[in-house]
Amino acid sequence: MLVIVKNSPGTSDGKRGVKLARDMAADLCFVQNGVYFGQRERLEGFCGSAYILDEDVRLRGIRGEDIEKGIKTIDYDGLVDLMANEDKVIGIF
Amino acid sequence: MGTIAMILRRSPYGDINAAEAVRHAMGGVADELSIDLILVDSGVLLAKKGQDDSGTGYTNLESALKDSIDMGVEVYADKLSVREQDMETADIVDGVKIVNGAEIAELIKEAKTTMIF
Repeated sequence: MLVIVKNSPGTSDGKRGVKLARDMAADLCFVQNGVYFGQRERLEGFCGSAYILDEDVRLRGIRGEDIEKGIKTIDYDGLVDLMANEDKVIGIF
Repeated sequence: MGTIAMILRRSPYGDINAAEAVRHAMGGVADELSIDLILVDSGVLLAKKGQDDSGTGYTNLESALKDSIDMGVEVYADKLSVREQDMETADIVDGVKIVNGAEIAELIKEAKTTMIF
C-alpha cells in the first residue's frame, strides 16, 4: 500500500497521512509541500519505504544533503510507476 | 496612507498564498505605499535560497521576492520560525531582516492595515 502526502509537516493533513502509513505499515510518497517531511529527523522511526518527488524538492530549494538518508528521490515517471505497481494507493493527504 | 503589513504564514508553491503575498507587496510599492512583508511559520520558506524552478513551469518565488526587495518592500522573517524550519541566516535571501516576536508586534502595531496570507 502507498500513501501520498502533499501537505507540509506543520499541517494536520500531512501528519494524518504519515500516521496512516505508519499504522498500516504502508510506504510513503511525498509531493508538493509534503517534501518538507523528507528533511532530516522529521520521519523518526518510519520503517516503510519513503519516496520524494525530485521536482518539488528542487523548487523549494531543499538540498540533497538536507534529505534524510534512505528516502528515495523519484521523478514523475517514477511516481506513475510506483502508483501503477502498488496494490492500493491512498492520497492525497 | 500609512504602512501596510502583509503577514505570510504559508510555504511557497503548495498553494497561491505566497505568490499572492509577493504580488500584492509589489503592487503596493509600485503605488508608492510603504509595505512590510512579514514571514512567519512556514512562510519563512519563501526566503530560502536555492529555489530551482527549471522544468517545473512555476514562477520562481525566490526571484520574485528579490525583485520586491529591490522595489522597496521591507521583508522580515521571524527568528523562531526560521529555526523551526531548520534554516540558518546563510540560507536566507539577502535583504531579508531576521527579527523576533516583539519586533514583529511593533511592526504590526505601527501598520495602518494588516493583510494575512
